[in-house]
Amino acid sequence: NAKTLKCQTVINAKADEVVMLKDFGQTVSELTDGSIKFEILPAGTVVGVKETLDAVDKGLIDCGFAWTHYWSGEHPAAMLFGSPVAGAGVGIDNIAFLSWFQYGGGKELYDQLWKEMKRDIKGFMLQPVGPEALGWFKEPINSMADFRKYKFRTPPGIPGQTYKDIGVASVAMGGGDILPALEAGTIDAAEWCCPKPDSVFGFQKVLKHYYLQGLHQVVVNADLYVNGKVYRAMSKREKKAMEVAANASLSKAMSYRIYENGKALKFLTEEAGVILHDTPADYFPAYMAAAKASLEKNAAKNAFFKKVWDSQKEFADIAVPFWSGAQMSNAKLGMAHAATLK
Amino acid sequence: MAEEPTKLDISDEMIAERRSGLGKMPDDMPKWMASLITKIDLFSKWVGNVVCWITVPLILAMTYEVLARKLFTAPTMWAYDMSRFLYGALFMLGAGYALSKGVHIRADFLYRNFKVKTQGIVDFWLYIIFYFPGLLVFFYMTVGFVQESIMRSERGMDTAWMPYMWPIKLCLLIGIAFLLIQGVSELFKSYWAATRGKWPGESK
Amino acid sequence: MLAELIDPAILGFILIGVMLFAIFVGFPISFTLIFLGFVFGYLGFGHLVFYLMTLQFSMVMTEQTLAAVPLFVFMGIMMEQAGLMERLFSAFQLMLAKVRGSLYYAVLFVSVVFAAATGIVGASVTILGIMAAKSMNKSGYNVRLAAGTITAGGTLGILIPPSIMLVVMGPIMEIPVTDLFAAAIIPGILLASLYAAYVTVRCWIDPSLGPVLPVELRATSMKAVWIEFFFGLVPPALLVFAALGSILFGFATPTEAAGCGAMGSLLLALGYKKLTLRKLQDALVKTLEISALIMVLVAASNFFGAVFARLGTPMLLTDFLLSLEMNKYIILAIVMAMIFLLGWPLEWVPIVMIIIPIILPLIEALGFNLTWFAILVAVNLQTAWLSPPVALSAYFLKGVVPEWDLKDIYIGMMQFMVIQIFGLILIVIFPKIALWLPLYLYGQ
Ligand code: NA
Ligand code: NA
Repeated sequence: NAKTLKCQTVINAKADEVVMLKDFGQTVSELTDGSIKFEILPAGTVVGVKETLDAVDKGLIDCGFAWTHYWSGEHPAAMLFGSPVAGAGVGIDNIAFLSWFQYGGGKELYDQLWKEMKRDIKGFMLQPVGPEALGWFKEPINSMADFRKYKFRTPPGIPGQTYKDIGVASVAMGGGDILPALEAGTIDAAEWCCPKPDSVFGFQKVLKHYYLQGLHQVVVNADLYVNGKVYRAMSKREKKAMEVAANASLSKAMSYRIYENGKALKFLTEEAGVILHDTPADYFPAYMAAAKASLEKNAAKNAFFKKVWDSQKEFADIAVPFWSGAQMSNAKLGMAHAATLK
Repeated sequence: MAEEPTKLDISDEMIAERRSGLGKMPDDMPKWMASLITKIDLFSKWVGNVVCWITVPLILAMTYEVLARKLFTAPTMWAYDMSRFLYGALFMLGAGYALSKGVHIRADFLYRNFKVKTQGIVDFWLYIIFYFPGLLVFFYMTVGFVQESIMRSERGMDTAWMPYMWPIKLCLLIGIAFLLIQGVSELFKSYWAATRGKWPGESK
Repeated sequence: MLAELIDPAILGFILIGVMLFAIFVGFPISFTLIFLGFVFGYLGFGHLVFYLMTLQFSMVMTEQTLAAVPLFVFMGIMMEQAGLMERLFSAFQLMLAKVRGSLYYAVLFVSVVFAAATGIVGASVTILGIMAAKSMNKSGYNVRLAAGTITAGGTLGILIPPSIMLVVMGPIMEIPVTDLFAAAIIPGILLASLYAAYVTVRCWIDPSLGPVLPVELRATSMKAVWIEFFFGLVPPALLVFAALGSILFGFATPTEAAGCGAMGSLLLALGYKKLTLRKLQDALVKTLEISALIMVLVAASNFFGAVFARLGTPMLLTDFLLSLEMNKYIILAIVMAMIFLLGWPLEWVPIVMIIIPIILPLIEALGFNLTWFAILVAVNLQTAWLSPPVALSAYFLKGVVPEWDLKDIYIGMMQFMVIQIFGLILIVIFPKIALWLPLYLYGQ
């Protein structure tokens, strides 16, 4: 008895996230000998993007796909899974996050997140999609003082609030408004995602100064939400297939995006006339301090938020010194190669 | 007929089937019915006269945001969310008032040529078959929707301001309630038109 | 459940048929769509449809770009109350007093200006309706041609940038929105010119369609004309250009520009000493009525479209098309015809959201330029606003000009729908109409 699960995303059908989501669906389908198939519906097909989680919970669609922090309006802790600001304030990067998620107790807390939201949902973490760039600027910035001169389109939620906290004129704006607003000068700078999606978006046509190093969304994760009833009706084997395919997707998505972003960055700098800059040094301490303060404030207000963050901190105390130390040599090695290409 | 345009003063008469409403109910109408219709219509009119002022803060919020951002590089946290909430509240809370004025558009090139009695019959039965079942279900589902939003302390996730979502969702619920209340008045009016061949409260 | 007997996608086709029948009975369209959506949704996928309704309304209520609707409506009413629009039209009429159909040109001119100031159709059509209909009626214009000019002119708002539709289409097709904006400008002007040419020819053949001003109403001196021109044309033009300019020169997003425009109209009315508390209250009440009318209908048709999509009917249609193997221009023609046909019962939103992503691989495989294709779709979807019976612009116009028969509005707008198709064919034959400007501005 083959089942076709209707799965609505919050993005358009051609985004890289959807490419990888379809790959995941294909894997599940093959592992189950076709007893589970996915029909991927683009954003807005059945319900609006913001109503996606609600629609999955009710069963209006069988599953939904977004980034975990997309739902931080429903529970502040969603941010800690989808885009822990400034690496959860304790230096967790995308790979370290996976380590926490799979072996540091993250997955159990993630399952609990949906219960905290009182949603009947089974979630699957599928795709690390970060790290995200600081963003695009009209003029080069050399210090936080420069940064504060510009009206900057920030991500919503705590990452955006944190910019406000460090004195940046942060502007809220839907995706569709950004480019016209930049052209018109309504805003002077903006962040979106990473080289590939940014180049598709077309920032390079309006702004030429690009900063890769940013802290607001060092870690970003996209995930799948399956309606609880639908999930419980699956056979043991089907459930296992979902789990195995999800784990495979975590690694494949990261691999896919390193290459895709690399190609896009090459296009941007070599063909589109984009100039890549290092982020001003005083940005990092300022943003990290503000992020940490904001995390502490949220932890004081919400018990589950505190629980998740404590777990991340505990993990970070053990793993980050090793991982960042090892990453340091990786980064130096890589930068040395990048330098030979100039 | 359309070929001979009538004199039009837009500032008096703007909406297609706009009813003057609030006219005197016929003398032979049962007292309770007349009083019910009059009270509901008055209520909706009052609601409309209050709700319409929402446009003013909407204008002010947008103008303030532009000036603050352009002149002082000080964009607000709230203007984006406030603008959509004010707009959403405006049209939904005003939907019942709009019904009392008969402005919800009909494909009426057949309907308008019906006898008043036929119009009344169509309206009466479709209020019973289409309108009330549809809106009652809508109302019931929205009660749960608002309750959940309050229970979850749900916040908007489009801006750094992250406002609570329940007030705007509550406006949806109240808006449906206003529609249902006004629907009762319309139902009785169409009943009258169906049985007596005259719209109550209308001079025409 | 019925879904076990009939493929839900087939149910969707029946739904269209029943809808067409039901709304002609004459009950308010919004509530008819809501009821039919419930019934067919329930037959197709059970009680879940009841959630869909609330979710769709909630979505429309929190869509920030749509906040521009009441603002632009208020702006139009305020300008009307200040008597400026009458002056603008009378100025046009006086200047072109001996020109047949001068008010048609005025409508088209104002349409293009408005289209450049807003990305929304509803507001444009209502404002144009409020502004133009009174003058047109007084001057004895042909109702059908007048209604067609206003509705067609109003739909330019969704093509000429800023356009919400293009903003939505860009990311879906992976084309920068700026490219789409640049590509839409010349087609928009082309269409406006085609409308003007059509009106000219019709008035030339039959002068009674757009009579010249009666002698006794013409200006006695050129001085009077210039005064009328100055007071009629300059202030509203300044205001509209301020709204447009605040987008172009970086003061505001379209919704904010709408807010500033509303504030400007308020100040203008104040300056002309036409503003009293009573008039303000009147304007606000009318704004409320029109906004409620437009937005409840938009929300209801969104719900209806969502039911349709959830039933799977559009996918069925597309799959069938993809299974045919034919010449690429024939496939393009079929795709265009399908979008055109779907534009009858649906709004552009579900069409863009559902059809485009599915059809896109096919278009890419056929080697068509995507920006060009996007503009074809945009012009095509403009006709969705002009194709009865679910032709929102007809209802918007009817809302503000009650004494125009809906049938006449339908007939009027369908004439312009034909011009629209003619324009579409021109862009197919001469892709440069769309592609020259983005190429010139941004290079390859
Ligand atoms: Na436009
Ligand atoms: Na249509």
